[in-house]
Amino acid sequence: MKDPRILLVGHPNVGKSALFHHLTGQYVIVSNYPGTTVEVAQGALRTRPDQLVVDTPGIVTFPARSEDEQVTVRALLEDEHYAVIQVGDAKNLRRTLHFTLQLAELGLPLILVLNMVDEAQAYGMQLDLESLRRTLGIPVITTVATRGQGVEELLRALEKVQPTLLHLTYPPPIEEALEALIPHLPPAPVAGRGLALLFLSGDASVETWLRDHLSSADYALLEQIRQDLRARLPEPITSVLQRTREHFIRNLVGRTLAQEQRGEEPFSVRLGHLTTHPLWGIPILALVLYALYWFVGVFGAGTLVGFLEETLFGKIINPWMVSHLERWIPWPFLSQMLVGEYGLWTMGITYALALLLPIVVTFFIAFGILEDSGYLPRLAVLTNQFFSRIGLNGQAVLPMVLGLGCVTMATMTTRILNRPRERILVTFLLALAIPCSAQLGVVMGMLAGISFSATLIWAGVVVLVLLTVGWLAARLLPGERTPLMVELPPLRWPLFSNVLIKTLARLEWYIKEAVPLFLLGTFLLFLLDWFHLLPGFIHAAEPIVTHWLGLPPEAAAAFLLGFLRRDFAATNLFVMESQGLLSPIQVVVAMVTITLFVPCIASVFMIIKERGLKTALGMLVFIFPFALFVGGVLYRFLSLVGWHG
Amino acid sequence: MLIPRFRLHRGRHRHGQGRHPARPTLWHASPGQEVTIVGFEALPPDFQHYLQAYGLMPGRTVRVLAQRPVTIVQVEHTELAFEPQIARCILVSPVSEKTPSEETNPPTP
Repeated sequence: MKDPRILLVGHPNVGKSALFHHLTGQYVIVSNYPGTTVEVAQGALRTRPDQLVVDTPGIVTFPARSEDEQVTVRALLEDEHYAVIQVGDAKNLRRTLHFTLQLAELGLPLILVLNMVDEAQAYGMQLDLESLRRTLGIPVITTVATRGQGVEELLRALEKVQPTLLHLTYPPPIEEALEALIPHLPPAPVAGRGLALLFLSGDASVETWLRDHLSSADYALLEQIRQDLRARLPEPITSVLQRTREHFIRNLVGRTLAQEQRGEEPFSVRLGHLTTHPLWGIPILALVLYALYWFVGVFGAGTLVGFLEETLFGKIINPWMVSHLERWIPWPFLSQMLVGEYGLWTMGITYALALLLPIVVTFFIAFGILEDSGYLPRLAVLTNQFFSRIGLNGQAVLPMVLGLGCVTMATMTTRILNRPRERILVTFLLALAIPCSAQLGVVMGMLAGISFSATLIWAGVVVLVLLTVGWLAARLLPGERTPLMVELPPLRWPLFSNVLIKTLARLEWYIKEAVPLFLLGTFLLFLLDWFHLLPGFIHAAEPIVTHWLGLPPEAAAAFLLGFLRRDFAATNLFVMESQGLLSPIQVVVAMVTITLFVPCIASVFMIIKERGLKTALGMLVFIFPFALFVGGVLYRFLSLVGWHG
Repeated sequence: MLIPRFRLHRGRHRHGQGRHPARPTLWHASPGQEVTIVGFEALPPDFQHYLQAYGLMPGRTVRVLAQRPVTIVQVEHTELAFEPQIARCILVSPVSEKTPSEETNPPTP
């Protein structure tokens, strides 16, 4: 058994991660949409370094529905807890208290943190905290976690936290079932009554835990008690439990919440409604996309890359490095390895820092602003019809949009989806047709240099592939589509400091993950070139690269890099184009083919981790030949219609 | 599978048709209207439980914000969006018909 920990739990998007940051000093990504955290994060308590604090994914209620919610249930069941801090939204008091009761019944040493109390006050809500504390028998603290307000009081409350003794009385059939169940339960870090209630609710994680800790005969006995109770009740067990809790909460809220009348809706609320309006939502989306394109495509991929690549690296840093290193290092193998045509510096580092870094930085800033504004879940409403055509619902837009930042991270975010079928479909489409920010920036930069029609062809083909393959896959995969049900967070002004910290955290992750792969790919190319194997490889790839895709033979080297990271391949093609080696038709074909490649080796590992080896292999076996097939067909089609940019 | 298979109501009419149904559902409510949740039909228990966790439980009053492209309601100070086939499974009564014991949301700011 591990040392007792402090666990942060609560509904999605209530500020758990922001509070975790203030308690531990450790940053985890904080955003304004449900599902930002999909796995546990832990850090030492700021004031007591030997005490671990654990941040968990948000959970709406017990029983857990999605994979990320199950992570939280497991965290509650598997270890001893020094304290459990429930973070709730102060302005949604009744919803928060329903979850408080579920946690209290588990007999946990519980503290209730009502976060975003500033928003509740802005809505005219006044809370009688003392009455709440007395009735619930637990410390109740108000906070504004993004500003660190109330954290000191929480730290003081942690010093004297006690197990909760709150006890609701349920209708007799349930009380009798509980009485029958409790003696047969194994020892657990939570109270037997709470565990029995979760079992009666049908919580899959609790069932698994009980199966692991009981003999099959004992488990069958529990199952029999539950079956008997179901037979006795005229409605689902969860409805009876819920109604009893609702009755308690109705009385409690009636005594502790005063609501003042306020004037008309704030501008942010009205703007929020417009963003999902069937008519106004579309121009607002177009405006958001245009702003994103301008900031990342024009400013990042154009202005910043132009300055860094052409001026800073092209005219100052690289010429200096080449002349000095060639003079200082007498061994041609080493000097060429560093600053030759396929040099670790002249190719690997230059690509990563001069070409891709500005694009990635601008994308992460723009994306951080979008995340914190609360706009992303609204996209789920606008795009629901599109995703329904491929057997999904609008909630799939979240991992898809996150995939534009990084497909590897987005693959992990598919945990927020409720069914395995949806998780497989979205993972597959992410791997196939969603370009990451780095690649998107390079693609946009190259295609914008040809013509607008080139961009349209590329986007049209990728969307067509997404729709066709998604439609087919949805029909082949067994199971039904889940209808959309999503919470829309309020629109908020993004905090500059959070966007900045988040960008830096993602940038660190990008540099740690991408740069070593860039160096590895470059080194591989250098070795092939040094030992004169590259011409042989290019020659071997000619039937596909030249005859089928219609590209110059040298493009084979780019596709080889594409197996490591497709943005690396796109960058290599970008350099080829700037050297005049690719015609407009070849640029479009190459960009479409590389977009449909698997994103990077890290994403492959993530797919294996999340979906299993067999599923991952199945995806890879389809994706690579399919990408080449689409590229070849597009080349023939564009040649046939005589498109030349 | 975490959610059992279920068949949701699939109405053939667009919203706005069939204004006076025998059993009004959330789908029949107009944007801006406040309604009291009465119950559910044709929804599996765990999905009902999930809706209830968001506050969509019998006796609670919610405000309908939109019906297109999907149904959007305000429960306390949360906005929830769901497809019409879910809205068609949530039975409601207009807020004027509520009984004294029924709870209401805090007034809209």
